Amino acid sequence: MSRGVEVGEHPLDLLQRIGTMGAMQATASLSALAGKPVVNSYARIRILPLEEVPGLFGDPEEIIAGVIFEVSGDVRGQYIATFLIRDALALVAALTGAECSLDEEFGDMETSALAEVGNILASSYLGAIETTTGLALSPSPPAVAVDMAAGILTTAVLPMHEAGSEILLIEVRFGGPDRELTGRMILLPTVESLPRLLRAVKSAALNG
Amino acid sequence: MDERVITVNMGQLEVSRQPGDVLTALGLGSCVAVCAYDPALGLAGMIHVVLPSSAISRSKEEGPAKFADVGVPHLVDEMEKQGAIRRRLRTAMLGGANVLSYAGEAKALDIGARNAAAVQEALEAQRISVRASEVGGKVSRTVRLWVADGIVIMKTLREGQVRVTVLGDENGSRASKRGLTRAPHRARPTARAGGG
Repeated sequence: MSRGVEVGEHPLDLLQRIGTMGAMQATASLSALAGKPVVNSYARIRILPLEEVPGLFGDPEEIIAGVIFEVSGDVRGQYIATFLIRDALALVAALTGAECSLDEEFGDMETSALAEVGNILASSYLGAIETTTGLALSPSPPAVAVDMAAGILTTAVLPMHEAGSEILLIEVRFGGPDRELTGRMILLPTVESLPRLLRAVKSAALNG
Repeated sequence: MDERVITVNMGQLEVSRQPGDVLTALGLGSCVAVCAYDPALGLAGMIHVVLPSSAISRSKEEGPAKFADVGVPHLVDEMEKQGAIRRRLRTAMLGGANVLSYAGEAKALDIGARNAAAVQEALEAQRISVRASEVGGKVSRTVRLWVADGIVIMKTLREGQVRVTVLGDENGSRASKRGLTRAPHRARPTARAGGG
């Protein structure tokens, strides 16, 4: 991480606030989409060495579905929404009305359904940050992947990592009360974007 | 013989001559695992390359195995320290995929392809030939290298486990017993494939 960014307790609290405000919007959208209650259960900031990224979700070989966006505008970085594969399949089924399983190839329809889930999450998450801070955050078209967690996460994180040695991420875990649907969202701001993001959240907090 | 799985994490190097050891790199996306083997000694080594060039490194503390350009010579050096002879070394490289395909645009920043090209170049510069190369594509790979006989196995979501090559001498006692000589089978994602 850049030595120019002071990551003390206060800035971390501010980043936590970003995660929480985005998560509330995104999980509300997801509830509507899935037709089930989904509650924001857990938002936290993590600063971890690159080497720990493959195991972020436990088993590096765990099969997950990931929808990844590049974020541009006032804040640059990556936004990633991930689901365990069974939950991704359930979401696709809810959206398309057709059952699908991993034994079949993940087709165009399933891929675009997942992309749509990602779009909804990204626009509500990033939109909530925009509304609160006044900063512009625009997601790119999504990339969709169904594969081992390690492969998806490292490939998503590396362009942000450049040659630094640590990754700062804002992570939200969410789930329904009966754990019917769980997933995670990660916002990875670039080192250059962090101070701007912190300033904006700080001033929003003072004025709010 | 008890198997001991040695996980080779991002940017790490592992060398072993313990016949029970299995050098393992889990879920490689754009990263590349370089496997090297000296069949005369039963000495195996693996690096888990993350980026193509050390020129972009900001930190001096980072280990050389993280970068293709300095990682490959580092692997050869470490194996030579344990008695390996360069011209005997047999290698395999796996990984370097582009797991994330964005709709509509070709990504200029295909780190996987750059990693694979840089590893290939570094091996050529060391005058070491590549016996097997499983790089590129869009799928993540787990790679296992058995120290006992230099068998290299690749695991992917769709293909399950596939034997890629044998870096040891094929007529060795264990190579034929390792199984997995059949055609690739489809993965059953609900079942966890075991550690071997």
